[in-house]
Amino acid sequence: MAAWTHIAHDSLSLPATTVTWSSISGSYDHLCIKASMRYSAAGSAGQKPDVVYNGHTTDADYSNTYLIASTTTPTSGRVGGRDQAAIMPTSDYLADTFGSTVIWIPHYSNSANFKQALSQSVAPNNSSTNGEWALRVCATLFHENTDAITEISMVAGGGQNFVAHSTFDLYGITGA
Amino acid sequence: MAAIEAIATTYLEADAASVTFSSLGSYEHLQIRLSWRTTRASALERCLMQFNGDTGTNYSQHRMHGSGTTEGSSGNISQTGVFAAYWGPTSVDDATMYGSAVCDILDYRNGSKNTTTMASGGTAGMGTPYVTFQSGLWDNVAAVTSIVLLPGSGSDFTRGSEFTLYGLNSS
Repeated sequence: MAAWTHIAHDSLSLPATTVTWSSISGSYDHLCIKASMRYSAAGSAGQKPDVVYNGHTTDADYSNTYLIASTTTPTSGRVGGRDQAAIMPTSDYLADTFGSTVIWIPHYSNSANFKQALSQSVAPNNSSTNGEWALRVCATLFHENTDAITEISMVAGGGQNFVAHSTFDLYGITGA
Repeated sequence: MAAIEAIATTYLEADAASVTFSSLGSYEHLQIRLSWRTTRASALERCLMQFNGDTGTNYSQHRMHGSGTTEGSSGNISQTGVFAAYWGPTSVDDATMYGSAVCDILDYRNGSKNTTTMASGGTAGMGTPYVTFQSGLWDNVAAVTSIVLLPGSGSDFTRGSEFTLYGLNSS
């Protein structure tokens, strides 16, 4: 069996608020998301989309430890919320510029442990001004319950959209 | 079709000024994995990446790093490339030491997007250890058809450096 399997691809031909993958098979060992995203509304510091597991939108069920930079001083911290895993350019950024995000969700189908995701995400821009670009690394603990992850939603947030040409890919990775 | 395929590997049998990938295939995403060092005579070197032969100042770079107990972040615009890897070892480091990096180039064939990159890497040099995370932007919506990697200060990649290009499918 191939180690990597492509599960789903979503390429937005029109703006959309949400991309959801449902009924994710539990037959893989790990999941990996690769997303190329841009936000439809303004925001100089970038926009953090929601990453929602199994439809649970209670922010208190998500714990995030992050390392970020958008100025000359990187910072780290810990905060609750489903909107901390990733960052993407907004309409304030250079036109046609999309961010890059990779999220790993190891051992997603076990039902004994809380699930933890590791994400790397960037919002590039043609500006070196503080607050007009962003880098983000985040470890997210989803601790609402120990259910297997069967559904993942990416939500642009703020009632706004991912712009057209945003793409979202979900991969399953198997061991031997 | 495999979800991820190795497109090409370049292993340097001799020092080289650059490495070029010119057959990128038709994938959704690309990823480059590097094990590299350079012949630079002073500490630390950057690995620049240019697309489609564009050597102009059409690139922007942002990064954050840690080195020992010191951290920092910064950005530059109007550059001649993005960073596939920010800092790597040079000839002043132990001869067996090579830095590592992984660089993602998502949706590289989309003609409606500027090409952007995300990379992480490190070098564990005794005197100049670094771990870095960086983004890159090429202000051009053309599909990427070729990639050139080169040391940022004009030195050579050292013999034994290895660069592998992977393609990720979306079907």
